[in-house]
Amino acid sequence: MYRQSNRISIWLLIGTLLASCIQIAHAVFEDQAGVLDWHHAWIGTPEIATERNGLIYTVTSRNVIAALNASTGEIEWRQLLERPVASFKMNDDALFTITDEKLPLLQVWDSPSGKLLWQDRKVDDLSKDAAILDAVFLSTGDVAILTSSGSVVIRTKDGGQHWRWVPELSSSTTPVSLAEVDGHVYVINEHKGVLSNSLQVHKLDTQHGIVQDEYKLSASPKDLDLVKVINGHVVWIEKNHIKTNALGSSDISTVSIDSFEAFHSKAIISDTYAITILDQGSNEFLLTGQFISDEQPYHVAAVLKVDGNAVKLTLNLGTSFYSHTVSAHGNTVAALQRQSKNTLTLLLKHTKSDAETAKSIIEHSSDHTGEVRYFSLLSTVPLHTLVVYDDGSMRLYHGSDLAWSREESLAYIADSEFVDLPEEKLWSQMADETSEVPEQHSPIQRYIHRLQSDIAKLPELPQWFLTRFSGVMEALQKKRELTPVYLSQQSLNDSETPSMIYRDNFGLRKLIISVTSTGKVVAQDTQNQGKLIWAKYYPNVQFEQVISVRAATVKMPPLIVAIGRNVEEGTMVLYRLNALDGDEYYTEDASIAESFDPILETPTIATKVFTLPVQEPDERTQILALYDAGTTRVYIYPDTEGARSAFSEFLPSFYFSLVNKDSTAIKGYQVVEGYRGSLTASAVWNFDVPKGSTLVALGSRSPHEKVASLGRVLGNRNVLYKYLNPNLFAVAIADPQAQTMTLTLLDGVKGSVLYQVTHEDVDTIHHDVHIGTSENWIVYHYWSNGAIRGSAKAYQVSVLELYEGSGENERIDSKSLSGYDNQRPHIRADTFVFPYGVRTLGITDTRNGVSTREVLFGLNNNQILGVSRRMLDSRRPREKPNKEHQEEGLIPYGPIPDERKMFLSYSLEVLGMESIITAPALLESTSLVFAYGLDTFFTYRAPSRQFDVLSEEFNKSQLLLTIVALVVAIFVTGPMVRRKRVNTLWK
Amino acid sequence: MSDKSKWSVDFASLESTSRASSIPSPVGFDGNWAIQNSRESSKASRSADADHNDMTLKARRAWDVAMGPAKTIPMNAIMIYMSGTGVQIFSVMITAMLFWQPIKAIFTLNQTFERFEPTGAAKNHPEASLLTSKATFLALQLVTIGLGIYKVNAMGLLPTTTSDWLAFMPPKQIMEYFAI
Repeated sequence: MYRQSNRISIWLLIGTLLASCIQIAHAVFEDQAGVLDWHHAWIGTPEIATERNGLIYTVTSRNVIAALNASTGEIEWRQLLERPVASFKMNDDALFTITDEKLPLLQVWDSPSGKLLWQDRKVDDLSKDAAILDAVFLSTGDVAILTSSGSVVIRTKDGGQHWRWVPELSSSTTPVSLAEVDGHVYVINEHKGVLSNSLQVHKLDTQHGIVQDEYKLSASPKDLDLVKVINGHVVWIEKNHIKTNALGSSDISTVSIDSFEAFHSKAIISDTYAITILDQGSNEFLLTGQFISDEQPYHVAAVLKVDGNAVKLTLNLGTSFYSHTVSAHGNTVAALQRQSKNTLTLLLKHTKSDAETAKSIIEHSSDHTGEVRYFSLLSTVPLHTLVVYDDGSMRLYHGSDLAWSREESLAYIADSEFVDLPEEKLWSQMADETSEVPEQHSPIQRYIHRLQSDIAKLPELPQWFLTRFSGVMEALQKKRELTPVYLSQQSLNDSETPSMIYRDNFGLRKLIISVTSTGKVVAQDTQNQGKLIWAKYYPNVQFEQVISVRAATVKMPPLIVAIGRNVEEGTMVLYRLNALDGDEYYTEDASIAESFDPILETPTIATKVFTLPVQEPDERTQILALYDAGTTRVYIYPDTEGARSAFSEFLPSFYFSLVNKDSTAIKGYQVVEGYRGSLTASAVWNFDVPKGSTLVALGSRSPHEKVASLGRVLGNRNVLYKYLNPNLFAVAIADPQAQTMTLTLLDGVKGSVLYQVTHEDVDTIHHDVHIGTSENWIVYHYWSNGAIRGSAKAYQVSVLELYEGSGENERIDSKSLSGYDNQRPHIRADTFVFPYGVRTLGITDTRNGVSTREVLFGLNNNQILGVSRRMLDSRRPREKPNKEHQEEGLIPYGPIPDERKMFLSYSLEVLGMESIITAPALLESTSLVFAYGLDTFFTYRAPSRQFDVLSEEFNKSQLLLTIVALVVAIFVTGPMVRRKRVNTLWK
Repeated sequence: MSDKSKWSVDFASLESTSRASSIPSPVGFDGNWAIQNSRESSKASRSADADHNDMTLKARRAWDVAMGPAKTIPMNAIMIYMSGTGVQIFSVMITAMLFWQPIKAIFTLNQTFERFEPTGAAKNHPEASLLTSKATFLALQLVTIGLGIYKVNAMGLLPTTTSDWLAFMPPKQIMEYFAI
């Protein structure tokens, strides 16, 4: 027994030694971090923002609470919540958030550090299903919580319970709000009586929770939301009247809304009245209403002030077609209104004094950002205002000057694409040569032409050498000046024109074009910390997809098509943009100009857009196919004559598939030409998801992927031929009841099931399933409960490898591969224990696919883990690796190691990751990786190490010095040797 | 050289055709006397018998040379074994030698055996023919080359397996285009 265990440990030792020798993982050094890669932390667009002690505290629509440095815009801390925030309040050293869900979660955070102090979904108020309704910070620093059962619970800052007050409420009473005035807690409930409605107010002692007073206010507000507590006053609207009550007294004062100038004699629809609290500590509130004139809605707004028992008008905002935004800070009310296309007016009114309204003008064009969505007056002396625009960007103004901005639209990326940049010399030098037609010019003529253009470029040669040399010098000095990340996160200014950037020698520099759900198209440089190159804003558009339709070629700029929906019009929009500067691309060819419009707006909303591998002949852009499920019609884009004929040639071999609306089936279609050349999709096959089961994941190969080798070479130099079927895709179907997960490999053309495997004891309810597909293998990640013997209760990742035959050197003998052939792959599979939960998954892509691929797992802990394909290999031997295994480079079987070296994101937290995209560089070893979601993160990845680049440690200066020293030595010793030879001859 | 020249001083073969004939004999030297003396010492009527002796000697020598490579084969085999199958500078050098030396020897085959060519009357004697010894020599050199080929194969440098032709295989043509 002892001997056996001893032997096993020796095996283990050998295994680990081997594994360490192979060194699959490689990490960055500390000084390399952040040099080529960049991480932009985003928060989303603020919905509430206040400034305290030089920090801007904000809650955003991406469910982030964050503190920003008020002078630079850097994030001091942030927390990503799972649900939207319904309520946010803060005092000097803490803040709390209540989430918007059925059972709201109250979380109390330490405001300087952003650490969670305590959280609770339920407070101990003796009732069973009471949810947290509202809360306030008391002047003592405690938190008073109102629950849906009407009880009040006082918790200390650290979460300890002080006291609770549990009233006995009748079923017709609903709690509304609570407030603290002069050391007393007031609880307001609405009581629906038989004859009349009323608001019940209880006055509690802050120290012990003893009821000190109780009174009723007869009131029947239309909606509970219309009852607000504004700085110790209950304010509500009732039939065109504003009613107020100063808490502590039972008097109600009533003011007719009509009496205010702004609302006077306007047929305002009474349902549209709304009260907005501007600032926690001020008496001002905003009253808005809407009326319709000439079928156009108009907004009326005024800032009112509760003063004792009276409501007075502070600022009349009047009727304006443009929306306006109001904010208050202490005793100052501010409103931001659009004055003209390029200017915004900031109105400031001090409420205590009768001073005139101050005005200041902010220069800002609405073209690039849209209108103001949110505005907050952060401080009055000095005047700091935060403005959030419709495109998702936010700007902080000092007075009327822009202090800093954040391009928060990138927190809303819907889709991203890498675009290759053109080469600088190609662009200028060969521009004329492309216009040559080979048939018209003889090769000699063309050669002479080329020589001429080369000679014309000769004067630039010294310059070229100089730049080359300076490049070497820079490399020698190793000086890198980095712009701070927060600077590269800034929005572009109105006046900025996009700078032209070109490809580098290794193709490491590309553009990342992202489209956002806020209607923005943003291009970022992969170098220079992801600096913005250009940005475009389209109002009312929600972008969904971006497709690169033309790569950069000589004379022709790269083109992208941004696809989205116009929310207001209910149409689908397609914009064809020049990827280098973001301008809409107009063709120079007049004959197709009509059907090659850069903007296409259509009421037909395509269910799915497919990129086809055919180009139209005029502009050489890839043709897109738009499928409309409602009419089963297929449209092509662009719809030019050339595109039509190119498409009709391609038509017979075009198939596509779609998951139907409610994910109950996958359908395969073929496009057929119908009446008068109209294209319709006819169903070819149907794959039903069984009842009670759900489709949980889908994975297909990237169409751009290149495969270097058709087979896999084994240790004995035999070959396993890969089954390379680009039409294959994987579907994971889960049956939550039986706790099984079935993975099916389908051929998309015929819909034939190529392979099916069912995993038992898989929890698909609490854990997602993710599929990654590349070459001839499929990787999928899931959670196993591990009830079956021998299976681990852990995250598992399985790999399926498809080969043409079961044995070595076996091959299906045919020159082509069709979905209608009766060919079935042979599958080799294996499963490995995986250390983390996964949010998303990507696979590295290199130029020719020679480098070993790496599967990039976006983890639940906001990191990105790169696992080499050699780890996810079905051939990893379970026994001691023999000579053949070693020859093949196989690693002994084992779980995927939890190795910090394998993290692409080293110490960074890439919050809210949703997708990881990759693109090849010109260097075979390197792949570009971009992860987005909330944060954006870009890095280079060399999965098989950088075999085609000199390592950083390579001492170039030493090499140069050695060469110089050798040359000098030759010159010195040469004459010496010659003399010696002559001398010996004389002897 | 000295050994060889000592060996080759054979007065029996001192003919007027030899190299020395172009130089006049020293004063008082009687060439005939010298020949006569030597003939007397061999105690035989010269010509046929002496020629035969010479021929067998040459044939034996030729056989010695022909069998020379056979002695180096075991040594080469040991070197092959010792240098391993890895592709390193040492094993590559040894392998290159295994090819280079035999090929060189084959090309200089006639030069190697030139001095054993029978002369005179022995030319027509069947035993004097160097054909068999040359063939043996050639065969042994080929065996050495064979060793080299074995070595190259052991190093995995011969394209004998399917994996070696994998890169030249055309990919299958995909008949349909599928989008999802």
